[in-house]
Order: sequence, then structure tokens, then C-alpha cells
Amino acid sequence: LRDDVTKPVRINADTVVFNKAKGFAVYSGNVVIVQGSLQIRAWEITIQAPNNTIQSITAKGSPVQFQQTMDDGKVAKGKANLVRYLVPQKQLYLDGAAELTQNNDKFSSQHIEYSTRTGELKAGIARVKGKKPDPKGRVSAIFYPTNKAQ
Amino acid sequence: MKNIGRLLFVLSLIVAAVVTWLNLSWKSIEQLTNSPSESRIDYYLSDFTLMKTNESGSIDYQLNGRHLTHKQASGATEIYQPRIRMRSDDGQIMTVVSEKALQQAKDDSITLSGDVLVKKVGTSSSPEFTLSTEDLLYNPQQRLISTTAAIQFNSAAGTLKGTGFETSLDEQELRILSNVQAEFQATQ
Repeated sequence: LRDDVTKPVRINADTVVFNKAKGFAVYSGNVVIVQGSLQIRAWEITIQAPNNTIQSITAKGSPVQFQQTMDDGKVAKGKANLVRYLVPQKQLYLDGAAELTQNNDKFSSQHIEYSTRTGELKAGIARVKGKKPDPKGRVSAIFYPTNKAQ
Repeated sequence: MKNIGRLLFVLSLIVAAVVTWLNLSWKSIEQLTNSPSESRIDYYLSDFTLMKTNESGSIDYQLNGRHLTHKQASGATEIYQPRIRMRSDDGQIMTVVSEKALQQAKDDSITLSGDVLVKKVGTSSSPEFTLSTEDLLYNPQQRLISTTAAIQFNSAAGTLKGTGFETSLDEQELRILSNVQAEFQATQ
């Protein structure tokens, strides 16, 4: 939801390590982060915040699971083995059995990039010249028609 | 002349008997002297202030307390209602209070117990915070502060609770060992 960012952030975990000199915090063990309607579950979440400014959030899990209610009321869910969010760029990277679902629509690939600023979504593994494309890098999308047959 | 001799003989017998009795039943000479004992307090302070300065003459820390006892043999020091004010690494004043502080021997670890409260003044780079717990152990050799008790941090950014805590002053690293619950205010 639009006002999720104004809500307090609640984090539960088994352990946490803060390192002021290196500017990071690592929450480990059954990590749950909640901010408004946004929920993230992982076994480890690292927050890089040099000079007290959050630069990136990296979540690892088997898989990492997250969900958030959109302004239209739909619930968007996602999962991947590795989720990275670059705060300044507002760019989300999902790697390893990545999946995004909203209601029944589903989008899956080994690698998904999503810009929370522009809403642009890229998926699949970039084709590298001279290298056979990776079959696992295929993208799968399932969209349910929203208009019923007249 | 014979009587004097007999008298001297009797006297020497009596002296020998008394010295033997002293040795056997009362205290040995060594025990008679002021030998150190585990519980003997050699000095006691009340409503005191102690300031430690460093080579440049500035104050390293200031320690106030209601009572202080120092044990002769072990060098153990016990302070009731200690209040320590010192400068943290970034130069800000840190205040530590508790019901009691105990150092078992000179240069040994220091245990703070009973409503331990650590308060640090904020700077532009690090916010003011208070830390509260039931007890805190400071190891001067490893410069490590730790507890196994429940702990709570409060700062303008939010609240952080957990059980068990360790921080290495040299590495500027802080670990909460279990049951972590954090709530941070939104930054937008």
C-alpha cells in the first residue's frame, strides 16, 4: 500500500549482529519483517547502511517469501532463494526459482528484475554472445483473462 | 645461696610451662600478627567520587557511589549504587548506573548487577540511546561487555529487545544472542 512506507518497521529474528564500523546489520534465524502490509520471511537478512543510510537489503532463504497489498486491494506475492533490494535505485532483484504472483497471475524465472520506481519488469537470464542460452533461464507467465466471456 | 638457686629453678620451670601453653593452645606468633584474611576489609568509602585522569590530564572516567568496600587479601572491590561517567569512542558522554558493581580481584572482570542502565548522548552520526538490562559483565582484558539477561535498547530510531548480548569495544560490533524483536520508526 502507498502508506506502507510511513508505518513502523517490525523485525523479529533469532539473533542480530550490528557492526557500526562497517555499517551493516545481519538478522539471522526465522527472520520476519513487517511494515504495514509488506511482509518478508527469510532465514537471513543483511542491511547495508554505511553512514546510517540504508543502501541495500539482501534476504536469503529457502525460499525467501514476501507479500504486499497493492492499492487496488490485490495481494502481490513473491519468492526466490535470493532477494536484493537496492534502495537508492529502487530496484528489486530476485534470483533462484523466482516467482511473482498476483491473485492467479503468475510469473516465474531464474532471474527477475523489478523497478519499484517505474514498474518495469525484466526476467530470464541475459543472452551471452558465444554461449548457449541456459534452458533454466526460460521465463514462464500465466495471465488469467479479467473480462468474462460476454 | 641454695634457696636462691632453688627459686631460680622453679621460676624457669614456670616460664617454660607458660611459653609451651602459649604455643600449644592459644595463638601461634604468626597468627598473632595482622595476616591478610579473605573477608577483612582494609578500606571503606562512603558517598565518594573518584576521578581517573590519563597522561594528558583529562578525565578518563568519574565514578560516584554510595559505599565502596575493598578486601585486603583478594583486592576485591564492591560498590553500592555506582554511577560511572566516561567518554565513549566518539567522544560523547556515557553514563552507567546500577545497584551494585563487583570486581573480584584487581584488573579482574567487573560485574554490574541490579537495574543496569547505560545512557549515551547522541551525535550527528550516532543517535542518543539507553540500554537497560538486569546485569552486565565487563572484561577489561578483552574489552568485551556481555550479559545473558534480557536487554532493551531505546533510541529515537526505535526499540530493540532481545536476550543475551555481547559487544566488542574494539570491533564496534554488537550481537544480540536470541529472541530479537525490533521496531523502527518509518524514515519517510
